[in-house]
Amino acid sequence: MMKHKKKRNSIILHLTLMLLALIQVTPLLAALMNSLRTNAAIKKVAVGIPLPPQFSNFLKAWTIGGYFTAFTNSILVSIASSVVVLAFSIIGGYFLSRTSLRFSKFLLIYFGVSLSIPTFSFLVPVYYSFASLNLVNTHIGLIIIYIAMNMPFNIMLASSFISQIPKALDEAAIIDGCSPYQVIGRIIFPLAKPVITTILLISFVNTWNEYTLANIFLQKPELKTAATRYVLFVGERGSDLSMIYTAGIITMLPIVILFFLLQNYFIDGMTSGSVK
Amino acid sequence: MQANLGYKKRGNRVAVASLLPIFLYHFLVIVLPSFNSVVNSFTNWNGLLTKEFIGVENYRELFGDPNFYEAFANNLRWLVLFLTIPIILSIVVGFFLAKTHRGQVALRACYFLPYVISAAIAGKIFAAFYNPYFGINTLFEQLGLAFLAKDWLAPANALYSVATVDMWHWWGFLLVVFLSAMQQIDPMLYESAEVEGANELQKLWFITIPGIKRTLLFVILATMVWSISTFDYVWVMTKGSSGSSLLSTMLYKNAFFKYRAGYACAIAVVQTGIAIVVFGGFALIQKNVGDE
Repeated sequence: MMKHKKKRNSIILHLTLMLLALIQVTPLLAALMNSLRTNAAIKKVAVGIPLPPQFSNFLKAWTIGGYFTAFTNSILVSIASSVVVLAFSIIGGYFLSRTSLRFSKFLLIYFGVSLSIPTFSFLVPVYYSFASLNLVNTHIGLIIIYIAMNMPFNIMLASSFISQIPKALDEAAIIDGCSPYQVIGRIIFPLAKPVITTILLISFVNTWNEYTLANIFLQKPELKTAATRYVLFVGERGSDLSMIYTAGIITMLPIVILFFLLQNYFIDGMTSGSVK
Repeated sequence: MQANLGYKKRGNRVAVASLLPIFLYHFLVIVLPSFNSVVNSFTNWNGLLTKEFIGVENYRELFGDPNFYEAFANNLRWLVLFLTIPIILSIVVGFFLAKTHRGQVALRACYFLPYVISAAIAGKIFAAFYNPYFGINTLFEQLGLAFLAKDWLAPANALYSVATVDMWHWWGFLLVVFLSAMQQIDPMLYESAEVEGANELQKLWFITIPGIKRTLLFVILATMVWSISTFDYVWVMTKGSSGSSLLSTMLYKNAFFKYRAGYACAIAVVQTGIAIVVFGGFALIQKNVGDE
């Protein structure tokens, strides 16, 4: 009897969890279906099976949305900022975890506190100083801010990872005559691969998805990153409802594919630091 | 503890020479401008050359501005929603998901998926669903549920409609955070509770919640700080119009449309001030919890 009831409960539980998962992905599936329908069909029935599928929507959205330029911009901004963040994090993390200088202790607290600084607290002065330095409407301006914003978290992440690498390894290298940067390059870097993947992936995704700053600092359409270009596109072409969905799917696709390929890195990386 | 790189003096010099530029970079781009916001909040700065000291005039105007109270009330509504619905949902789902071994990874991926999608994309796609004539309303009518149809982004509903999208995006993240905290709870506790005949609700309340206390406190803190400065979903979906204005949309409009940078800085100072108070309060609570 008891066993029976347990089994029934477990089935109900599984069904509920699956139903919830279905509800969670339904908006995305609906958008995917609509991305293959015509404007007229969407206006008649809001969500439906795409029959016949309008694959031409994708070519149309890609062309008029300026996606080649938009993706190039996103890739440039995301890769440049992630790589610099990585370099700062590994170098910073190494020295922070291997020294007990008063300055290192101060920096650990400093970066910890700066995690909580809201974007808007520095936005207005940064914007107008960048405007006077001609850094508004340049990718480098946005990259400079993204690096600074992603730094504190990733330095702390790298520092706590590197502190778990046995110190004996770098001491041996030092005896062999390695300089600190040679130790970082030859010993730390190869051993820190998991944290390197996390840092690159998370900063890449964060900058790729970022909207607020990209929208403020890049106003010219040809400079905009994919997410901000998409908002502009919807504003201009949104009367064709199919384009909202098609362009939306195109814009999210790179990250969604990356997510399914590297699911565990995503989940561990994005939630690391919040538990403890 | 030997605490240098193993080079003695020279190593420390290299460490300082490496850490200092990293620190200065962050300080110049983030922290110094934050202090500048405070200074500028006492001026009539227009973002360009005009910048005269006007004392607390901006603050006096702000605290007499009905728009400020409307925005602040919306931030508080946002806070109440985010302190309850996503947190409760993710803890309950996490509690049950932690026990299901089959399909856990796939389910977790489904819940988490919206979190990796940009607010810009999710916001615009949901705005299309909320379209009063061509969106979910027509679905409701076709399903005979016409009473559910609403003007989703009209003043009475806009804030809640937008918050729903943000919660859809957010709770899966919380779920993963709580799930990994729950997996660190000693399974023996559940087993002995089972022997004593505890039901699921009792296990959730007496074992799981105390077990994830630190994570829960952290999530509450983060929710409070973020709710005061939330921006992207609201901006993408309504631009802060039709009853969904927030402190940050008000700030944005003043800084970049009305060219009242000084006034915008005053709003930023109030926002940051609230975050600091919350943070300080949290530090006190955490200290007390840590003492237990």
